[in-house]
Amino acid sequence: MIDIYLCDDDAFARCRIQTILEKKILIEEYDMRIVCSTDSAGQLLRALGDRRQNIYILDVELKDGQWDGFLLGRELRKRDPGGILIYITSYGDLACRTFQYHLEAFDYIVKTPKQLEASIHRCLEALQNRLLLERTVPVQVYTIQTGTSLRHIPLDEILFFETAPRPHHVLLHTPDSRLDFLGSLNEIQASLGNRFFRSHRAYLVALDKIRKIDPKHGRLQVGGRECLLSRTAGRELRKLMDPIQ
Amino acid sequence: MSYADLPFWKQFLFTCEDHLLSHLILLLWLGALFDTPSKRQLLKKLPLLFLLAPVTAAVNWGAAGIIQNTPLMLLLYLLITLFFTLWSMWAWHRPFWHCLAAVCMAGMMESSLSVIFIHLLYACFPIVSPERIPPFMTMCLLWLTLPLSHFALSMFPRRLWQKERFCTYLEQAYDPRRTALLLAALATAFVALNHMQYGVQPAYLADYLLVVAVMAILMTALVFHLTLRDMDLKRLNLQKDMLLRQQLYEQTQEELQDELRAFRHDCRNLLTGLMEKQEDGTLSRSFQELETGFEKRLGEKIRAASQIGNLRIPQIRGLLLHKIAQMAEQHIPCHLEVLYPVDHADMDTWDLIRCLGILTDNATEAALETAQPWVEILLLQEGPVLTLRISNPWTGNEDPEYFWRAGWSTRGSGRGMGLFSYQKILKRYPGASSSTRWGGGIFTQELTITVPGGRS
Repeated sequence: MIDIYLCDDDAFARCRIQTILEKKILIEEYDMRIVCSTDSAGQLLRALGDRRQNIYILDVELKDGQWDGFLLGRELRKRDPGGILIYITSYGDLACRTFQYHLEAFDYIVKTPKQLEASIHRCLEALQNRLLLERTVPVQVYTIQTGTSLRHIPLDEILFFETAPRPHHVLLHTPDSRLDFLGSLNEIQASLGNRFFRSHRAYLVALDKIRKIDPKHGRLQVGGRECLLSRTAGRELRKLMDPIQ
Repeated sequence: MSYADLPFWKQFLFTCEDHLLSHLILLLWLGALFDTPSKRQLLKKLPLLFLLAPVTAAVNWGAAGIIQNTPLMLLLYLLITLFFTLWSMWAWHRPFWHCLAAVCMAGMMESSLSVIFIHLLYACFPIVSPERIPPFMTMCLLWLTLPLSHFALSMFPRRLWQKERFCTYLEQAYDPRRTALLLAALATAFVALNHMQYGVQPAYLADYLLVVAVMAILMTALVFHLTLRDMDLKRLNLQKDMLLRQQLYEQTQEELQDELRAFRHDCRNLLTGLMEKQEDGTLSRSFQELETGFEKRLGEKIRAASQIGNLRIPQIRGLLLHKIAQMAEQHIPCHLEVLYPVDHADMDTWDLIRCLGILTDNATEAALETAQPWVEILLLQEGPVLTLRISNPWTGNEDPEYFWRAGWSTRGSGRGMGLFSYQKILKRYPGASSSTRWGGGIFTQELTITVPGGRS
């Protein structure tokens, strides 16, 4: 059972959303329930029990003392990193991208009377699909922090880590990104275990992503990118690979 | 024993050594004017340069039979300048005119200072003179002091162009070609001045050296002054433009206020008319009309204005207004989001503006290559942390891994240079980290600026 928390300071809209949600959950027999529906951020945070990976439906334009929609989302992300954030907004096409990027908001519900019901239905269906997918494939992630945002990168996508030209900076390479964060290769290596291999002082590569080994030139092809391979690491790597072959 | 009495091969070797030494000195000066993107890469390209010494020595040797004095000297000078320019284009990935300017500048330093050093050497060690050849080893040791003293002096321009090198300033120059050609003319004059040492009577040698020294100092100061002036001019122009945008922005603000006043007027009219309309069922329709009208007329404007209003650093507001206006001219829809007021960043404002400018220019350029261009700019300030996020659609034709290599470009040299400068600016800020994503046909550059040292 997944708990849903609802927070909107517009009582009328909140009631409508709640009714539509409950009806949809009942009809489709989703494994969800609304445990908290409130107009204040403080109340929601107090009501938050021990259970995690909940669904939070929050108003973008929430104003409650020091809290607004973004800060409440930030706080919930901190307390429940695996939770799902859904935002309620009055402007359909002006969806707030900042929420999406910085809080990894899952979806939006558009508040206007005409679109409300359809967007809640669409949102819940998408949510159900994702939950089904996650239940079958539990994903291991590596978490990096840039500024105040946390990024979770599935271990399967990571090609290699590389020390950046600037001290204390590390670059994480995936097939479609290159992320810069503060850290040290030694710490990362210790935390990730034997799935990753230190091929060089400046490189930590995913063993299963190695495509080609070229010890003669001290190079390593990892997922189409080139990494450096030190001599000692080359020997070690051959030992590692031999039993497989 | 004099130079002419030496065996043929020894004479050639001496000429070679002479050329090698002057090339080494030229390289030292070039290194001081350029910045090194990667020392290893540079070392790999170095051997080719040593091939030049025997080549120029051979040309010197071969051509000496046909032409002498000034034409020979000019021929060699031309050859060396051309070769060095091409080589530095290859080594530093810079456009031709930048390289030519830097090589000429380095050449001037080399030829003027060498004259002074050599004559100082003659004065201090009487055994070394153009007429007599001392034992080979002593000679080598003495000549070795030349590059060392040049190296010591080349620290001086490093200090002059402290923050960034001479070549970065060249990028800012209005007309790099004109600058390069003027520098080339000056360098030629210096080479001629260098050549004059052989005709100066000993009694006037001190005066001659004084003139050379003063000219060298004057020339360096002048070039430094000119690059600074060019930069200031450019900055001033940008500021002027930003001021203009600011005025335009204020104008839209006023328009918005007028519209709001009109809306308030409509609202009051409507409320007074409410009572009468209540009976005939047109009430809800009137409300709807009012709302949709308001949304259509003002919704997006108010939203955009409040986002721009959240940019509390005037220069950044100016720059973004400028860039958004540019995008509008090119029919690229731009979505700007500034959730919280942006009032400070742990970065020099001008550096931040350059970063922002480079990122938006790249985004615009890449977006233009796609069928449906758009650009999205998000700024988020959370306490001391400022995050910039700029996305655009892209064709996916280039491998993003090449973007960070120096000099990468798809057309011309502007784009790769931009990202290279961007990386160079960030090098000065340990708290800044820049990430890139390019999945799903969308290219995103993200820059996070935190207080250095704080891993918060």
